[in-house]
Amino acid sequence: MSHPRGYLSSIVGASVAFGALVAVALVMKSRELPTLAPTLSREPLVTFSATPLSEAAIRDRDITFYIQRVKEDSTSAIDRLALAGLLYARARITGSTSDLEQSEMLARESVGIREARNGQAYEVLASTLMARHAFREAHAVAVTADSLEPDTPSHLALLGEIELELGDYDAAAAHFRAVHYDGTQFTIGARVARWYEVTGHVDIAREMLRRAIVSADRRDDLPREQAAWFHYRLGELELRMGRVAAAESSFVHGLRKNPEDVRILGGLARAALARGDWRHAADFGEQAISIQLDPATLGTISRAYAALGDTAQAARYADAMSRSALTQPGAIHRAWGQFLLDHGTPSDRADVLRRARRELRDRHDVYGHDLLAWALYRNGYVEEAAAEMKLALSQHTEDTMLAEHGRILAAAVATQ
Amino acid sequence: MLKWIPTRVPVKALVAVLVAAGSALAVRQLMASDHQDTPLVELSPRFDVNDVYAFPSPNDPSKTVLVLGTQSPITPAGTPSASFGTRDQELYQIKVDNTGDAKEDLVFQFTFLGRGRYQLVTMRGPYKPDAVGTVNTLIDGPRTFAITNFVAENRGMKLFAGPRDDPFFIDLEAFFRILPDRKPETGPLSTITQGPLTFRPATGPNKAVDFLRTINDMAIVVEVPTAMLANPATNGRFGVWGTTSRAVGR
Repeated sequence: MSHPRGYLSSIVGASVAFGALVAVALVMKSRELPTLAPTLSREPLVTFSATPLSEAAIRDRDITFYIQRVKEDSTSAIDRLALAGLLYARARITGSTSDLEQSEMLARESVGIREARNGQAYEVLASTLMARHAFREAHAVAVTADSLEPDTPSHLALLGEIELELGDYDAAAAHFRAVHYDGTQFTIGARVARWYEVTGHVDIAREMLRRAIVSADRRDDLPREQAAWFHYRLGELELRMGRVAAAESSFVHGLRKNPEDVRILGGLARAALARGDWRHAADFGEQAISIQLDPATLGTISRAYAALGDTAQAARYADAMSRSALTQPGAIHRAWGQFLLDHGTPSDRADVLRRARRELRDRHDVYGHDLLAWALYRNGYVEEAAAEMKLALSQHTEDTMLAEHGRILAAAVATQ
Repeated sequence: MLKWIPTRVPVKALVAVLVAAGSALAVRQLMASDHQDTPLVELSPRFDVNDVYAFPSPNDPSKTVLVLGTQSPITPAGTPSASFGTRDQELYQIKVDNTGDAKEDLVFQFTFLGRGRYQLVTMRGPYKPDAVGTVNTLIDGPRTFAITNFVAENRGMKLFAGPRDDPFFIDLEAFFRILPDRKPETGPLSTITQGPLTFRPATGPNKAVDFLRTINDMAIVVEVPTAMLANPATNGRFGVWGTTSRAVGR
């Protein structure tokens, strides 16, 4: 026996369908085009629930679906890859470390079962490793993928992306230059754009991101989070350039694609902060953290409340930021570190300096050097800071934060 | 004029349908399958043709059923929101060669309007194509309209477009052990040729697993009088293949 809602849905659906068909037939007739009046079945052959599933609900059900398939076939590398990808996608949105850990485990199992024709599993594995800042291991995984399937654009772009994070710019340049990018692979385009941006070619990066947005916007089958992500990336680039209006425009476009996008809401909060709109900065920030807690956004809200004169709220958010950032194991997030250096306690600043030094043992990227430079300066080591800042500016990266740090340090050295 | 270019260079799948001479037409069932076989269609699943089937109608022996399956694998949860590419983007075609020269003599063209679960389907054909080969234009002539998920009948033909269970069976993991798909031109995997020609058995503790179980695709199904397709000059033999094409010029 069919479910009453399903039955209702089929009736409604049939009415809509017949209505549409009659309307089209009338339009066609009015244009005197040759038409044929078909007989349509009384009931649809396929019926669905009246309530369409949200993307999140589809993903959750797909996860359940693939968990069952993984149980059914202990030799299925492809089902493990699918499940790993879905869990990784959910972790990107929810920040779930449990999903991330399971995704990593399943991706490892997948490549353990089958190396051949399993490049995507290597890519998911490398992505999960990058998410927990295990860049060296992620690089080793990407190298394996590239050796198994040489010249695959997505493998080359992944290698380049990890090398950017590690600060190995020569290797990144070699890999990005080897990518055959035909304009349709917009996820690769976004990675190549980041390379151009970090190495001082902002105009090319901006153009590539715009093209990626055009390509992604043409697709109506992309998850909203993915479609919005390209707008977010362009907004972030513009914000780093100090082009706040352009950044906000891009963020707003992204938010239309994905109205509860935490990253974009956080971006809008920072953009509002940059143009001195403290109220909106706090509002966007609070909207973002009501969905998912992000220490960097806590810092933005704290600064906004401080500017509004609400010192109690500012202190509360700063304290929450400090607690959540410094209780994280491993490397410190750069944005969190910058906030703590500027707004934290002397103890926070010392902690950030220690962590920034430790992270530079593995990573030598410009933002790592910048964090260390700023940590040194804020802890009173001006000359050492200036030397680090030179390394931070070595790639000619255009970034208002780097430029400001450079100016302040140069002035500090001059006055010594 | 809007034109469409193919999303895959080689023709997707070729099936030979044998129609016996005489009034009683006997059609041998044949099929071809290849899921997600190029990077382009992996990026754009709507353009992916997974199966082409041709078989005698189970209800009427004078008719042939042609099926163009696309977009597999679609999970059960993803099925209600799956849809066909719209006319401004995509053209679906089933092509028929009934002269034996591997060029289409007749085509069915399918375009879709609207989004969501009820799209308007327009079928043109079977008609002689305006252009043979990879760049195609829509053919003028009477059309058959339908709505996705409903069966339409017209001129002795039946048309359905919508989600169906992907009927193909493949033990995909075993297949990849036999012959790696998309073998790279260089590197260690390029030296792999062919593994042992053994799938897992159908029964027993280590039995084969159908990768496509409970997986759906978006299918276009036409039941057509075989006489519309067959050419007596070639003893009723005809070949069938399916294509998806990307719109250009807009």
